[in-house]
Amino acid sequence: MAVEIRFGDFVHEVTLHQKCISANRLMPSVSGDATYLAPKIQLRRLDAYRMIRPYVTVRFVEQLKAVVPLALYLVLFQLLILRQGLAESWVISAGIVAVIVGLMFFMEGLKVGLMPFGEVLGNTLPAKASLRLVLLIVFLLGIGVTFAEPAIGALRTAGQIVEVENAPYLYALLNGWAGTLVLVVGIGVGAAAIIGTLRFIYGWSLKPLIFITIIPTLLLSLYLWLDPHLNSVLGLAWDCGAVTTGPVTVPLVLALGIGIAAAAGQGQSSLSGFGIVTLASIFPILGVELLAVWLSLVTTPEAIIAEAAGVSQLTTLPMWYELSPALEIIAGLQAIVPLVIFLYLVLRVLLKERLHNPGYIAYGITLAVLGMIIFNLGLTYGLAKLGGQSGGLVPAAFTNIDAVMGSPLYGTFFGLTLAIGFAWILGFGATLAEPALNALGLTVENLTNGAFRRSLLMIAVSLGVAVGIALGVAKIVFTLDLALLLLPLYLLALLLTIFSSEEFVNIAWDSAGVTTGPITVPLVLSMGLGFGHAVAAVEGFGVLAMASICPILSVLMTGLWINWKVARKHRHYDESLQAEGVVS
Amino acid sequence: MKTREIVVLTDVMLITAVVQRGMADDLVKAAQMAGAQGATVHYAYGRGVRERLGILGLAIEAEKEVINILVSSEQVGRIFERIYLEAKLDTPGMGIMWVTPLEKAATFVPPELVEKLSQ
Amino acid sequence: MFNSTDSIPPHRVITAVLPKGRAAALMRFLVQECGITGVDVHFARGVGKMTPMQYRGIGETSEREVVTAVVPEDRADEIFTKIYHAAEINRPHGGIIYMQKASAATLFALPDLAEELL
Repeated sequence: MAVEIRFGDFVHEVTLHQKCISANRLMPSVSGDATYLAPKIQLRRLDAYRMIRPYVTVRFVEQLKAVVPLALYLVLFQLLILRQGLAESWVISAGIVAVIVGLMFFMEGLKVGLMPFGEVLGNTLPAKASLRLVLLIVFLLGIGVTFAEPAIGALRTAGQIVEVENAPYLYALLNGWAGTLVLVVGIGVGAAAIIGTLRFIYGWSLKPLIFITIIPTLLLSLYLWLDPHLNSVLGLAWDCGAVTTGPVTVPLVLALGIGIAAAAGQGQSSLSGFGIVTLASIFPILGVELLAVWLSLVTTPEAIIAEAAGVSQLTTLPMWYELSPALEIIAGLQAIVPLVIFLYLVLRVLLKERLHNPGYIAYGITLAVLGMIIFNLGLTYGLAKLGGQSGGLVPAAFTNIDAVMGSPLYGTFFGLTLAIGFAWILGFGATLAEPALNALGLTVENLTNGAFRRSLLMIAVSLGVAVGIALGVAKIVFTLDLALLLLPLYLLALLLTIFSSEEFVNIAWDSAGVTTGPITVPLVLSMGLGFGHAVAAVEGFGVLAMASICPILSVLMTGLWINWKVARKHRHYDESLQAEGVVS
Repeated sequence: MKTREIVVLTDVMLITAVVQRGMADDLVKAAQMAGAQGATVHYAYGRGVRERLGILGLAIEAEKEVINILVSSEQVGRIFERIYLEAKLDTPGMGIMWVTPLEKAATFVPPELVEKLSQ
Repeated sequence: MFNSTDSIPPHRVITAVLPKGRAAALMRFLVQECGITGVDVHFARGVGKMTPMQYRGIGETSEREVVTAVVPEDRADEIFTKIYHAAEINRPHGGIIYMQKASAATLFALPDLAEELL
């Protein structure tokens, strides 16, 4: 008699080597009301290794991919095209490894510590505090964040080549009025935080807010541009907007905003927690412009020049030039620790809330601080040094520089193309490695459950920055008028904003603020300074401003392109279905 | 209202896998290669074994991805195993997966196909 | 209705995976017109025939919304059909719904007052 076996059982036996264990045997038996405390698990070495390896490698490789191409590009450019040897190559290599490790630590710390911390705060703040208190806290936070931002100091570096005779008001803003300048920027960020928070609570759309803030800013820019003395302040004003939002601020503000938006219950769209960063880039511009106007009312160019003549002899070498490891460590601590302590005090004292898992958050914050320090060190000894070397030498391609024998190396046209091309690729590479952008991408990915990919956003933004930096460099070289570049681009951005969906408007305008962080700013500024010196420009500002408008355009365009593509694909699919129907 | 006709699918199983964040795309790809049509993925937070591993637990992400895949009851074993291997579920902390039988499911089925299959 | 926990009849869990922006309307429909109170919404991303590999990564935001409802067994088929029509499952890109058994469920029956508000 033949034995009958179900074919399914046979396949099951042959292909699936499953061992079946009853879950009843696996789970601990808890009887009655007894509480069960799970014992700690002891792992085999192999298992521990198999767990840790992917954890470390994934994160390391991610940063490796971001930083190494940039470094390689800088080295090859210098060696092959500028034909210059690399000074201190060992220090630089060690610095680059430090940048990678630092970024890895920082991003992980951000994810495990800072961002959950911000979100807890954002969730509890509107629930437990009155609206006025919430607004006061975010306002103070905005000001504090600005003072902690290291990139603000970098602006003064760019101000070095300003000659008091050529641009008296700009000189005054950067020297005698520097403290007021930072305060104005801080108040701008604080005001932005207030309006951004109100927006979350009342569920306003970002589009009208953008129009309301951008249009006066542009009009004021027009006024400044037409005034011959104030003309030169324009670059500084727009650059201030770009630098206010750094790698610590952005993730914290985003997390806070998302928490508030979620708690306020107006979360219509998955991406409604954005917008503060946008406003935090626009308001400072407005503030600085107003400050410049006020300055022009209270003092005259002649008075500034006379005053500068007395003081200028006393000015010492700028602080940023005196590099020491202590400086970076302090900068790393300064960027994170005061902010975290302030927020923690708010959480504990004002809100009387406890953190749910303080261990993990402390681990994350420690990691972030450590990462920031290592990253800063690596930046000064590796990436910025390298960028400074090649960035400063690039003008040798088209003009005469003392440091480079036989410069100009190439004809004017080819040399200029080369230099602008260099700026383009540098902008692209540096932005990809930028931690604030990484954090923004991470947040977007989280909020859309991974449907909106981080890599997509990062590439779109980086392309925008690349174009922006190339344009900015062209501006310095050809002494183009910044307003002539900025005004049409912003008008185009406003036009695209009308046609884009709310989500992309949110992301696009926010990405403008995150593009200029600790990697881009020193690299770009050293390049801008090099170019400025080479062509004897009045000032080297404006590059960062260009680097912040172009990504808005590129992200908005990406959004429109995606919408178009989805619509087209759906159409294709329907057509193919119909076609199949006819065939079968 | 007139009752309209609805097309119901039977013999459908739901495979659900909870894995560490970032792994879902590879798993969905593997499942699709084994014959699955599509998947729905969402983010989640999960704890458990992480706390019991002590310091090593930090290597496991609390952030998870939950993958839901609808498969036919004939495919379920094959796809289940493929995902298991791809996700390396035999390593601690990597995740968990299970299969739920479904009574019925419904989605858009092209009318031509309905006609063809119901004959 | 069933208020005590010791005599819970079997329930069904109906899950609907919908394109973005549809969940809120369906949830309102379930609560107000079907009287179902156990409705849950979460967001997800979809990968499927509709988003083949060559399109993914180029930047499609294939966001989905998932509605999960717990319904009494005797009304399960009726509600399944209602969702099918209300959420317009039966058209391209309409999403997918499925139903499974639940061996126990804790019900919360709204007090009678609530019905006046509807």
